[in-house]
Amino acid sequence: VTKSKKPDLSPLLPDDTTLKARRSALVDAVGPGGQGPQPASAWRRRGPRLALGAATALAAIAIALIVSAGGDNSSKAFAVEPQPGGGVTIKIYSLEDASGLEAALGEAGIHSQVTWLPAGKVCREPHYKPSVVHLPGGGTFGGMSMGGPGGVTIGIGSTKAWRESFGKHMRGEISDEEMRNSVANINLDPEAFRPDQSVVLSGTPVPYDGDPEGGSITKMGVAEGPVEPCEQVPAPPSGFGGFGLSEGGGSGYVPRGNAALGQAAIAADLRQAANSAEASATVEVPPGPGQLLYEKTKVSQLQGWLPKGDGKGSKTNPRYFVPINDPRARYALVPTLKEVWTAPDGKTQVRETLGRVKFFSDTDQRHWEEAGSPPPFAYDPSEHEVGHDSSGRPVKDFASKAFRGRREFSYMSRLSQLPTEPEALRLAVEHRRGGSSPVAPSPADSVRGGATVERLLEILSEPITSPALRAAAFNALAEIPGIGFERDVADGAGRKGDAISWVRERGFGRRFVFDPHTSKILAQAEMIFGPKATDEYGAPAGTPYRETAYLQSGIVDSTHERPDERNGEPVATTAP
Amino acid sequence: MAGDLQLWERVCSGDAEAFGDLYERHARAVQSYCLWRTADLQAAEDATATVFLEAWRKRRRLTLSTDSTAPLLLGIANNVVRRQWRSQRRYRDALERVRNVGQTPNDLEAEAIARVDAIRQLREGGEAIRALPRREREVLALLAWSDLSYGEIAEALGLPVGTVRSRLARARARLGDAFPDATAARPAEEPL
Repeated sequence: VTKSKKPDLSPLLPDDTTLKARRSALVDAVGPGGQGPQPASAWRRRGPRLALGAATALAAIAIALIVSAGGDNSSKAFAVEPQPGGGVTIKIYSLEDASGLEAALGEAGIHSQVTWLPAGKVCREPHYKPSVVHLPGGGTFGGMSMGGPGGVTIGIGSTKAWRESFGKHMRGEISDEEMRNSVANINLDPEAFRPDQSVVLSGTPVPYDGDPEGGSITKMGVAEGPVEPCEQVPAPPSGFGGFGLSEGGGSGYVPRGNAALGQAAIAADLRQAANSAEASATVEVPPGPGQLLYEKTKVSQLQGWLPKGDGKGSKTNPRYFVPINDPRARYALVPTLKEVWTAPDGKTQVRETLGRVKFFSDTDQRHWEEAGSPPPFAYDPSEHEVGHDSSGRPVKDFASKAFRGRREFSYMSRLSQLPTEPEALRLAVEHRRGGSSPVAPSPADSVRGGATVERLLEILSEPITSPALRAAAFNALAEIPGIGFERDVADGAGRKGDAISWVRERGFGRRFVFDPHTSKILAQAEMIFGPKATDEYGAPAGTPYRETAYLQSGIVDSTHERPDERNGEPVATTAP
Repeated sequence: MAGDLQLWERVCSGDAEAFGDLYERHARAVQSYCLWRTADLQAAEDATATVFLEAWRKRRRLTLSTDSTAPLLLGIANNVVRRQWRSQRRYRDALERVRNVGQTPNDLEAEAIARVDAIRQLREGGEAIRALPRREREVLALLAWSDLSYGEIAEALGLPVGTVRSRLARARARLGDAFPDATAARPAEEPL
């Protein structure tokens, strides 16, 4: 069976050494005396629908977990288990048997209203008077939303016991897993509830892992006084009811920008970019047979290094640049000028030129110079074939066999089939069909809105897009409320423009810088915006973790050419 | 080199080394498939180890009908990916051990970049298939992302070949132009 080209997965597959090592770990595990696959325990056999996913964002009141609603239907909807320190743990496996769950919660001392809703429905709000419970030892609880690749466990017990476990977890004394097993995702302390207070729990299936109802999301609130029955109404267009969770179950997008810029000012800049795009006479088409797409970018990558050069390496060749996760690592920003010639068949010729390494302190800079200014690992002549350009900068030339999906020209031609009307384009990137009535855009801080902003910006970052598509993308962005926006932001190449950015998790975020006068995306980056990322990498907020600044692109006839210097100096000896 | 049938017989009788051989032979194919399904390196690595642990645990109940364990392993992979968390809890300890060995050194930023690129390509390349309803998704995923034949896909999923074909036809109708090129050619090449 012949197959057409696919992305090269080899960077993601174990190398021979790893394969052997894993083989022996497996053989050890299953062999005599190994820990082996253990038979399922009783409650596991019942088919728990839920286990906790990676995202346990223990934020103030929002803990994000998703209820995976897949699997067989024979299992019990929930299970009640006694907690070691008193109280009970209720593990919810599926969004069924709401009245049974109410009874179980009641038995444990919590009055509640539980409503499991069909997909796409939410309760009409308000149907109760929101309230907060004051927790023993300080703090309040007023509700939360839950979702994620895993499940929800409600603990009912003393706040003190919960705090102890949580403290142990935060201090690293117990693992995530132990934390999940010992305490629930959420703890309700019956002592903290006043007699007129109750819990209002609702949940609905949501798309997860490609399955339209593969997951679910639950919302918990605290009510004061009587609770009206839940009247089912369609969920708002953000789909997830503004729960602020991404489809993968991670935390949402938090727009990050200049709060003083109003929606009107942001939309004006975006519309200006749309107008410049429309006015642009450039018709960009994919390269034809015998032609190549040339792209020049400046890639700045945060890398780890050790002032003493005592990374894993031979004695004769001490290793200064080390994995970024090395606990001893200092950090530096390594810029590379990257030129790529891509042929229509996906083969590429690449030239990488090392730029000036940037350190975050004078001391670091001095230590590096004292060590003889060792080159980053990728440019270490004893590890790689490295040449030099006319000004003495280290250069690497190589042909890449890797099939580059995003640079696949059929991908580009699919781009060219996207609608060039703003709303139609937005619906297309949201994989939705337009109806007879307009669908209002979801705000940028909702799941769908955030994803839409990102998709539109990625389309704009493509080297080959039509002016009409670019205009539509900018106009579509202009309609999205709540975008994180800043003016006068410099990219890695020192060019100024407007920036759209948002923070994801752990202080990491994304930033796209564009020039509203030309409509060009100048740069896109994974950014370090704040704690924990700043602490983790010793880099000031605003440092890119990896930034690609788009410098130039165009169609050329050979790998000897750049768009601006036809018949220039050959930069490669072989055509791709 | 022993064929899969012989290896599998030894595995069934509890031969851990034969199991190791089987792992070395098929781990990359299983991991590739899991990568496509999950578009997540960590999840795919865990899923891969889980597939083999699951195969070991169920070995006595699984019989080979051809000289390849690939359909069997990918059939398990399909289930593991579908309800990954469930089997992972069962294999927590073993997974921990596998996860902690031979981690790809992270010191080549070019490699790290290649990984990021590859993941991105996986995400985008597999988007259309991952968005299909489960039944169609599972058939098309095996067709597009493994080297299994129609018959083997049917075997892996425990379905009649006709069902594989009809699900595929539905997926094609649904995807239209987005139907992956890689698979478009196959039905003609391989008469059923």
